[in-house]
Amino acid sequence: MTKHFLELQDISPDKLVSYFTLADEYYDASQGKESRDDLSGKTVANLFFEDSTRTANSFYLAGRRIGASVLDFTGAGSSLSKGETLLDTARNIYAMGIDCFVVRHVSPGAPAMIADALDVPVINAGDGAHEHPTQGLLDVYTMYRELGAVEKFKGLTVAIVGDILHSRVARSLCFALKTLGSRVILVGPRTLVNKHFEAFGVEISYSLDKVLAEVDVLYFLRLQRERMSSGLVSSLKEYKFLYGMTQNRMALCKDDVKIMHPGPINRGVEIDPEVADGPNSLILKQVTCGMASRMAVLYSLIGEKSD
Amino acid sequence: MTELYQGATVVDPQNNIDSVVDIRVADGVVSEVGTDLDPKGATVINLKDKHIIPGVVDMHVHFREPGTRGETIASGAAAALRGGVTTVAAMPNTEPAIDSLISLSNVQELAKKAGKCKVEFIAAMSVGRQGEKVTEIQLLSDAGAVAFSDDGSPVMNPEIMRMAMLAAAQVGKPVIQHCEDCHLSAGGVMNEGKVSALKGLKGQSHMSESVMVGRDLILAKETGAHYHVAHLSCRSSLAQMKWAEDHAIKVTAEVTPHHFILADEDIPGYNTNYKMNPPLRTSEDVKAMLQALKESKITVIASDHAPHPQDKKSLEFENAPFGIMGIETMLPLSIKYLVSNGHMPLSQVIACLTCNPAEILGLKDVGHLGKGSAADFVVLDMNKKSTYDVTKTPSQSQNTPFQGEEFPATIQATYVNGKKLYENN
Repeated sequence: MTKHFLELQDISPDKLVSYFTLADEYYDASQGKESRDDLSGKTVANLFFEDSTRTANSFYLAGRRIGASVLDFTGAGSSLSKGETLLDTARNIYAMGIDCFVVRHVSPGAPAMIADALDVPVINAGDGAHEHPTQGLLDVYTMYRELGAVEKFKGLTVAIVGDILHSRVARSLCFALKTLGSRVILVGPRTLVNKHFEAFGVEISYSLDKVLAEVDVLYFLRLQRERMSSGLVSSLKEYKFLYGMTQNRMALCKDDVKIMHPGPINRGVEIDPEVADGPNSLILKQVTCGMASRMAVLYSLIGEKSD
Repeated sequence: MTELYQGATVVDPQNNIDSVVDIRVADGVVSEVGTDLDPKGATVINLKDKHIIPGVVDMHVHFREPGTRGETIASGAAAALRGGVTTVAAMPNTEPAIDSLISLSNVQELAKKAGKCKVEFIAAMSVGRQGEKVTEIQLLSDAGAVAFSDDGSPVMNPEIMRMAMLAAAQVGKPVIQHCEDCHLSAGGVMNEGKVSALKGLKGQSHMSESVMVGRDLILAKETGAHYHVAHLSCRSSLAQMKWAEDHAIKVTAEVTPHHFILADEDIPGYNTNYKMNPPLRTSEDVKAMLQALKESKITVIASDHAPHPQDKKSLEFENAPFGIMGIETMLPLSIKYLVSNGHMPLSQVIACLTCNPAEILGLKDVGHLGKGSAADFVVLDMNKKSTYDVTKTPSQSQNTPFQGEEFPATIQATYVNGKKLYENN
């Protein structure tokens, strides 16, 4: 059966750890310090139907630095507006001889549709508000490199702050952290964190200030400006007052609290520059770990010794 | 031409028959029902060990003609026969909508030409189904429209709804509403709940249905209209129905088989054959639908047959159209999940499929097998299992979640006006 990397919802702890091990092995290569040819002769196609620069670039470099050829296909907008269906596009590119698809799409389930229709490994690079599993993986991998041992995820408390409702990043991170035994608190306004999220086996708080003292990691989500126009958030000012990470709030946290964010950050909205650039921030480290994590995923799907 | 159908167990709820009786049919009309009828002069058809039920009346189908793809009146009417359905009421969500005398007579002509099951039409209650101006309800009623509905475009303006109800009350025909407050449901593609949160799909809350049911029941109380809730799907709407019952409001409701069988958690991945509107609700709602049927709070089962071509259903879940087929599976699914599961006696289920919808639509000659009624009936083998194969359908679509479903009974034949128009081989 063709292997895919579509979601973290049902991933096993062992599987996650095996990605950590692979990512560790690729860590030097991910920095360009070592050149490898594990995927030479393989062609990876990036199918990005939604605007993305960093994820696409990260996959591009990750593939190239371990020897794959990488085709970048960008077609923003839904298949409807393009006149060609998603599956038609995928079949066309597959016919060029592709070993792996990396798919970003605005519609939940779109990468799974391609995985169902074609006999080729598919990596979900973000599908609507469903999942962004390589982001979830790189986030826990970043934490793992800080913690130093997998066992330490048990006993870790992570607050994910912001627009959970529309966030694929939050979902994938939730599932990864629950798999590793951590405590997760979702924080945000009632319009963006509804009661149904209890299904994820997590706690919910509508107050950031109440949880600051007990968390080890504060993970902030980007606030999309369109949430204001749809009325889910009244104003940036009010959002920042309630959920923005400031130096004042840092003073209420544990000294060694870690600050994370998937990027791109809205400086001065969900996070102040002093916090984003401060000593507790892991934000750039996440980017670095992302390269190694994506190499690990690519290798595990189409590498010679892939299991 | 006289035929005598002998030896079958006849289940005719309207006439309180649930026993082995003979049925005599003369020139397509039931002329006599009773035990040991004299076979002299009649062609005798022996149906020992079989069941006869009145032909099913499906009061909610979409036959897509004119203007949209996935079905025609002829193909839909042929599929109906395969499902034991002998009369349908087709919704007016066509292009153009059935909102004028000329568009109504056009589709009536097409139905007559098809010569399959009987096709009645529900006319739009507002021009173009735009919810802005009430149609010529009196004239449309006189021309044969059996009910009035804007189908999938619920009338959002309560004043327009009030005027449509007044006009419908005048002609004594029901107003049927697809209950959905479009502000509450905007962008939703499945039920809002745990499952939509996990899939990352935008949900429509059950509130979008029950808010509309509640509003309309207040209007129905004041206008005296007969109000019919199309495809009721959630508990909160049943609570509104209870209020209506307490106030003796003239209200009826239908439920589809998929809403009393499937829940949102049953949707495999992003399979678009499980996408319809209203969406599959929670398992608690499914249980409530079964209970409401049992207690006759809901008295009609309708299919909401909504065929779509494969290319449209192959789109992303968000972009694929709402709707699934259902006309072929409604009767056997009802037998399987209501009768075989022990929830309801066969006669009560058959009433929900035949005489109850016929009464709502004011169709006196169908939905039962009393003397003088049309000889529209279905021969069932209740002891012979069957398997649903949508690839054999005469419909132009195949979008069903029930492909391969096993049924405890088999539809052996379907008769319309005494003529056998479908036979299972």
